[in-house]
Parts: sequence; structure tokens; C-alpha cells
Amino acid sequence: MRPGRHLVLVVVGYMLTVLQASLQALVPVRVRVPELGLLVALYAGLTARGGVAGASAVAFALGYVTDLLAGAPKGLHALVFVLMCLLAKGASLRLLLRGSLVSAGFAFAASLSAAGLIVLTRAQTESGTLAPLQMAPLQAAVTALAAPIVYGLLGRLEGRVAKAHAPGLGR
Amino acid sequence: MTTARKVRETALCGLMLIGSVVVLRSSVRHPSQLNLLDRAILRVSAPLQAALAGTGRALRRGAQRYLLVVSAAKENQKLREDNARLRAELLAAQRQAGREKELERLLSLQSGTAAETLAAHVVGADVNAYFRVARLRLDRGAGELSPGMAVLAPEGVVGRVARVYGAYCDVLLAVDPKSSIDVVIPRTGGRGLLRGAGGRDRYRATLEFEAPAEAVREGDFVVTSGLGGIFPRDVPVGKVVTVGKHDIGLFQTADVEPVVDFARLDQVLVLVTAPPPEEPETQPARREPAHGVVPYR
Repeated sequence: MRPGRHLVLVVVGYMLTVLQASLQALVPVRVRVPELGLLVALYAGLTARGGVAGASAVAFALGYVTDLLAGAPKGLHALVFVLMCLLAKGASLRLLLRGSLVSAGFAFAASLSAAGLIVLTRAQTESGTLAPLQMAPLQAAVTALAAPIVYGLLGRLEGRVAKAHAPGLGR
Repeated sequence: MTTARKVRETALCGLMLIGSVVVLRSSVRHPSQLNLLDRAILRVSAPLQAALAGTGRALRRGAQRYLLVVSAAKENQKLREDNARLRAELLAAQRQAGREKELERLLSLQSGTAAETLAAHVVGADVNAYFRVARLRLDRGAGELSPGMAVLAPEGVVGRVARVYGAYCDVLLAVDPKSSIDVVIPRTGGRGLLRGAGGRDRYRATLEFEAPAEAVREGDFVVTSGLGGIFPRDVPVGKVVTVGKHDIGLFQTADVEPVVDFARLDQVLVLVTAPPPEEPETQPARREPAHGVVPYR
């Protein structure tokens, strides 16, 4: 577990979640904004080395923040993000998830799954309907398009943090 | 990874999942309940969201303004082009109107002239560095005109046909030093000879007349006498601008400015036949012009 890396992911994820919430408020309802918090949670799972507990904690934190900013029941996104993070970790162990296209494809599948989980959970807990699932494919597509950019950004940040914390390197 | 660590990892992940479910259940039961952490997160997030939203709005406004400016620039360009086209059309219409007016005046001159006339276009001009026309070129030539024929404009005398070549001819202007025209001062009835004095940079002629000097004053108009058989009687030639003072000598001189602006000529009338001979008994009266142009008095 690397607390520094996870802290960076939480901070960046938080900023991206706030950005997502702000963008959503600016653009028309029909325009979909990528799920940036979910992408960070997926990245945490995909790049988790050794244990996945730290990545799960990151996903939980980002999900919790998303719940607060989105006005969703607390714990809903947290649960889904943790599940998606674990899914990503499992996928990274069994599949070769490299390259923009593959990572975007995985983000699409994960976003679609997350949407299904969220809608189903809400339907169970708040007597909601399954109607929001209609928007899921478009939302997943937009998220998938943003995935390579977000992963690239996070990779660079992680690289810089790792270099800064490496003793005797770059000095 | 050791077994103990695996167990710890699994336990932590399970804790996350269970924690999420617990939080979710609690939130579903008490949706509006916010704990200290929730409040802190929301308090920190709100200004960030406001700043981002403000930036977004500013960007959107900027983009809208940019689009508006681009649209206005395109419209402005189109209006400029329209304006330029309309200006050109207006100029063409004005030139056409001027040409028609000129033709009307030429027609009036033609109908009032006893001699047979032929209208001609000015097709060329010998323009020097001072933009003075010393010689004109007309689009009438051999078979129609011959040297010595009088050339008139609605304003007055232009000159005489100097040479004819092919379908064109050159006009010797009244201000050319080679030109001399028998003229009369209508105010006094005094006669004189108008000789061209214009160099290539000025339009002037010199009036030579018999003494006394009082016979000519500045501002007097000079018209053709009709003698010589080239120009009809009473066609305006010019205006006296300065009178020379010669104490001795039979002849006095005066500077005359031509009434025709040679640089602006577009159409002229050439007298292809000689004007009717001057009747001696009517000469002093000089009241009615023979060619239809109102003389200066």
C-alpha cells in the first residue's frame, strides 16, 4: 500500500468530481459529462500493485464525495465505485488492459455496469424506476472517450509524485 | 503476498463494501442527515464549484461573444462589399447622367447652329505633367472632317480640326499658340484677335485689340465675331482676366481665360460646313446668337 499515491489519487479524484459537478451544472441536461470520479476509481483498481485495499479506499472516498455532491443517498456511489475498483483489479489480473482503446472499452463496460448497479440499488432502496438506464449507453460512451485522457493525466501525476518521493533520484 | 496480508487486504475490501452498505442504509433512513465530515466536504467543495461554474460561464460568454464578433465581422465584410458595389453603381449612374446632360446640351447646340454639324467623341487627349490638355483627339476622321473645321462645345469654342488621319482627327485648341480667332467684346462691340498663349501647363489666350485700353475691362466676355468663315457669330470663347497697360502703341493686349474646360470635354460638335456669311447690317446689334448658345453679356 502506498499512502502517498492514494492520497494524490483522492485529491485529484476529488477535484475531478467537483469539476464534473460544475460542468454538469453548466451544460444542458441532454449533454452528458464523463464520470470522472469513476474513472479515477477504475484507474486506482487497474494500477493497484500488490493489495487492492488502498485502491478500494480511494474508490470509497471518491464515491462518498460523489454522493455528497450529486445529492444521491450516501454510500450509493461509494458502494458502486468500490465494486468497480475491485472489478478493475480483477480485470487487470486476467486481461492485458493496455492501450487507449482497450482502456476506453473497459471504461465503457465499467460505466455501463456502474449505471446498472446504481439504478438497481436505487430501485431497491428508494422505490426508483429503471428508466434512467436509457441514458446509460450514451453516458458510458462519453466516459469511455474521456478515459484515455484521465488515465494519461493520472499516470503523469503519479510519475511525478513517484520521482519526488524517490530518495536520491533527480537531485 | 503473504497469507496474512491477503487476509488483511480482503478484510479491508470487505470493510469498504460493508461500510458502504451501512452508510447507504443509514442514508436511506435519514436522507437529510449530514455529519461533520459531510459538512466539511460540502463547505470546501461549494466555493470550488462556484469558481469553476463562474469560469465556465465566463468561457461560455466569451465563446458566445467571439461567435457574435465573427458573425458581425462577416456581416460587416458583406456590407462593405455591398457599399463598394453600390458606390460604383452610383458613380456609373452619375457619369451616365452627366453624359446625357452633355448630350442634351450638344443637341441643343446642334439644333441652334445654322451650319451642318457632326457630333464627335473625345477619345484621347494629350495630357502633360500638369494635367493640362494641349490637344484633343476625336473619333471622326477622313471622309467626314477636314482640317480647319470649327469644333464647339456647349460652353463655347473648343478649337479647330488640325489634322485628320484615318478615322481620327486632332483638334487645335483655341488656347494653342498656333490658334487665332477673330473675336468681339459684346459689352462694347470692340473687335480683336484672340491668339492662343497657353503653354502646356496653362489655358490662356491673349486678346489683341485696338486702343483705347478702356475698351476692354477685366471680366469682359469674349465671343466670336463670325468673320473668317470658320466660327459662327457670338459663340463664347473666354473671359478677360487681366488687361495689359501699354502707354504707347496702337494695339493693347489682355489675358483671356477660355470658357471651355478642355480637360472635361467628352463630346463636341464639329461644323462640317461653313457657317452662313455674316450680314454687315446686323453685326453691330449682336443680340441674337446664330448658333443657339446664349452668349455672355
